[in-house]
Amino acid sequence: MVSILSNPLATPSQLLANQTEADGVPSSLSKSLLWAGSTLIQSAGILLRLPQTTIATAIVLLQRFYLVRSLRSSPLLDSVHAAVFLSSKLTEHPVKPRSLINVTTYLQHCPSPSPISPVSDNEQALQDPDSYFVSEHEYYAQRTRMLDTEAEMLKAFGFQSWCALPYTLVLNYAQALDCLDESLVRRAIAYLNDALMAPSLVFLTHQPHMLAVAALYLAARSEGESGGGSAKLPEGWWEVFDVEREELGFLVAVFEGAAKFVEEQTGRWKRRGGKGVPWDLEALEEELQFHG
Amino acid sequence: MKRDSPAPPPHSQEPPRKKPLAVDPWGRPRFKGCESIRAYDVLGKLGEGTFGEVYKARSHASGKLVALKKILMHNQKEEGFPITALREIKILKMLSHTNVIRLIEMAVERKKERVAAPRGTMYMITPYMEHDLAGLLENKDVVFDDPLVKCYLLQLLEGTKYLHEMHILHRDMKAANLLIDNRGVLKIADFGLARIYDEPVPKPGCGGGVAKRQYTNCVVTRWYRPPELLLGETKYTTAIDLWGVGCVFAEMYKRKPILQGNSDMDQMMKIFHLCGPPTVKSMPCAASLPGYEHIKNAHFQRTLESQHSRMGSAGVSLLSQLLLLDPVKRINAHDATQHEYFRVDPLPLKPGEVPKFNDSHELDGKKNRNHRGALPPAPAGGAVGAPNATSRDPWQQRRPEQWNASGGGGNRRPPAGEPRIPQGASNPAAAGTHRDHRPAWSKPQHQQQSLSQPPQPPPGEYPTSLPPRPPPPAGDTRRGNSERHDRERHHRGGSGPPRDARAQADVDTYFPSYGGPTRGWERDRERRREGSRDARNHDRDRDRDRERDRDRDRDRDRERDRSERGDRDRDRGERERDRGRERGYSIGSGNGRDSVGGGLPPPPLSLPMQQGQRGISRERERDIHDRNLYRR
Repeated sequence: MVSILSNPLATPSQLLANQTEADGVPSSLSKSLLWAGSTLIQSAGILLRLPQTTIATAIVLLQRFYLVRSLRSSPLLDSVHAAVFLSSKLTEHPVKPRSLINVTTYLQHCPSPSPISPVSDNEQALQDPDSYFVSEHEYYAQRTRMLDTEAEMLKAFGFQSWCALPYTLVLNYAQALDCLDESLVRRAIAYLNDALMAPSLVFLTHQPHMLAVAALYLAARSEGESGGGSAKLPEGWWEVFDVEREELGFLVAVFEGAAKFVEEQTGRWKRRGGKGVPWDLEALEEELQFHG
Repeated sequence: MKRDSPAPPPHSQEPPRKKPLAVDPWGRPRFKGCESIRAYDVLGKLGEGTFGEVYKARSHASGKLVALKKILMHNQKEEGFPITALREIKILKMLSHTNVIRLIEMAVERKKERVAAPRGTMYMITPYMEHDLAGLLENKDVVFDDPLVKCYLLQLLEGTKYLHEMHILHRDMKAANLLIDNRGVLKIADFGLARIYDEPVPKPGCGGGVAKRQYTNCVVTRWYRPPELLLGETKYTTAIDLWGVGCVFAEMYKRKPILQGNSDMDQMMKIFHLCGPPTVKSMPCAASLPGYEHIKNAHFQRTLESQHSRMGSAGVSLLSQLLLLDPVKRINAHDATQHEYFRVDPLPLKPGEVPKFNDSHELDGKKNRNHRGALPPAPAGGAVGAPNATSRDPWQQRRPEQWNASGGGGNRRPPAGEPRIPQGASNPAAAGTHRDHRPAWSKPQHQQQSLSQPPQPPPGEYPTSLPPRPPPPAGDTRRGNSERHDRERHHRGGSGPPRDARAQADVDTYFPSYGGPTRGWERDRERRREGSRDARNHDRDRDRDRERDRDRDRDRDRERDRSERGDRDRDRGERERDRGRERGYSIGSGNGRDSVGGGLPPPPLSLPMQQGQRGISRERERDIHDRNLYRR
């Protein structure tokens, strides 16, 4: 029985036994790679015109997957593909494997504001469509790996593919608090999208209602600061939604920290010049050797 | 740098690994996902459908019987894990209700020897259910009287109500998808076509409500398809499921599907002949639907009341509300459970009061099938599997304890092949034996041994050593043909439901088609015939399977009335294959009248790719292999 409003959460032991780190990948690198994967999903999802629920589900699936699998055994790019593919099916917006692979290849080779592209400074690449052309051979190879990873994912989840998201709850809670206001909700949803990228994996450790409350809290606060004239929320309102002060405090810290983390990571990969995120195993091994 | 020579991480004690990370240094799998198939003792194959194969198994942990449904990935090269299976799993995991089948878990089988298939085979695990409604209805020994019909219908409505409350459209309501266990509990199964709907839950007194959005029109097996779908409606509501419930309701009295149209057009005609013409009053939406053009000039006379007078006035009233042409006014599940029909005498039985039925013959049919699937290729004696009389012996010789259940005095267990009989109803002698409803293979060993005598007839009612079986219905010439074989098999303690017997006569093996009477060859022939007059079927290979499945019910019964024709020259392999496929076992169902996903018209999205030609041929290959194995 799955509740519509709650998720299966990561257990402390799962969080402690990080498979990737057990495999000798430094913690900072593994966090960074997971973030890069999430960013790639987010960007690809936008290009594929997927709704944010599909994108967010894909990111959560990717994070869940790497909770129990290692980056050194499951290549990041294939997992990204599989996560998007699976989530697109789960949320009834199926994408074609070909479109998906085209889009991620394009994103890896084209300058973009996000640092996932290794040649961001190279204007030549933009002119040259060949750089992101996926040959039939390459497509088949990637698709096979994607589908293998998809099956791996389903098995890793025990087919527990349900993923409850906090987006609609934000609307609900704002309505309940009588502060339903477009800019407020927009901001809250933006905070939630930030949190998807946070290294603390709050979507795996906290139920959607907590995330919704934290996002709403932050949104209301920043709206108030910016003088947006939003309604004053009653004292201790989060308790009505079953969130304790400490939890809220933690989540707020995570949500706020997400921006900083993303900036750090952007810088980290930007500085690399021509070298990009190690999407496949080979590149990852190289990266690991490079760092000793 | 080469991938297989990673530098060992300095702080790791593990040696560098070539195929690194699937196993730990001690060779155990490092990652635990879902359950391995090894947590189950597979007892044998129950059936095959286009959707997948089904096995019966026992859980090591709980000791409970389960059904394992293998998820066939016909088109996994392109579509990956089938979206229909994903939907079904997702939906089943959301549901928890007595009258809805429960998905216990998923299990994976990894083929060690085949490194090329890293994805493994996935199984859905559901509780084992002894019967399905279609199977029970074909067993003439089960008396469907008012209390029993009410009991099942009430449970069906409760389950439907729950589904609709959970925002789920089932979209394939039919007798074959309703599983019934030996405690009289009915469960709705096969969510391969189900989906979440967007509209509000139907309110009491307000019918199915109004649809807000479009859904795919190609849903619901034809005989159970409501008129609005046939007319091309895409904005449909939960009312489509209630039409199916109505069809099942009437089917329980008539013992056969009531509206057996052989094409969509014919189906419409049959509906309007039953329910009267679609007028502005009776079906306001009809005139605006694309299919209306074809029928607007036809004349219809309503016959519902006269045809179904047997169910009493309350029953007819409920039926006419369920089979209401206008989907907006059609009664919803909640209101239907409150209907007067369930409150007038005779009152519905409680599930616990339902007469116990003996192990279903489907089960025993499956049992034989199990042997077929599980037997080693060349058993000693070599008799196994030859499709003639001698081949029957192995069952008798190999597994005496399995089949001889009678003659044990007080705790005599009915022969496994005995058709299901309501307790104390048609077979008083069997009444005392119903304590133990476990199928033969689940009995304690000592009991089986103590009963290892030749099967004896139940005393009393049955003068010969034959187990009770109904007289062949008039017009069913095939059955007479197979009578002898059937009898013989019964006598030997083998299983033999009447309809299996019919199947036998045609397929000239003694393995009963527990999936139903000779559906395979009939359907196949039908398909070919259809193919010739309907080029579409040829064009759309990938849809053919599904198309055919959808039409299967129709084909069978249409064909039933025809006399047996010379089909013996037909390619045997094909027959075998189809028969096997016929057994399509909807999660725990023994019937296979419609396999899971069987009666399925092409669902939206990517499903059509699922059953490509390659998948079909692979299946054929496997079946031929099975057969060869067996004929050795």
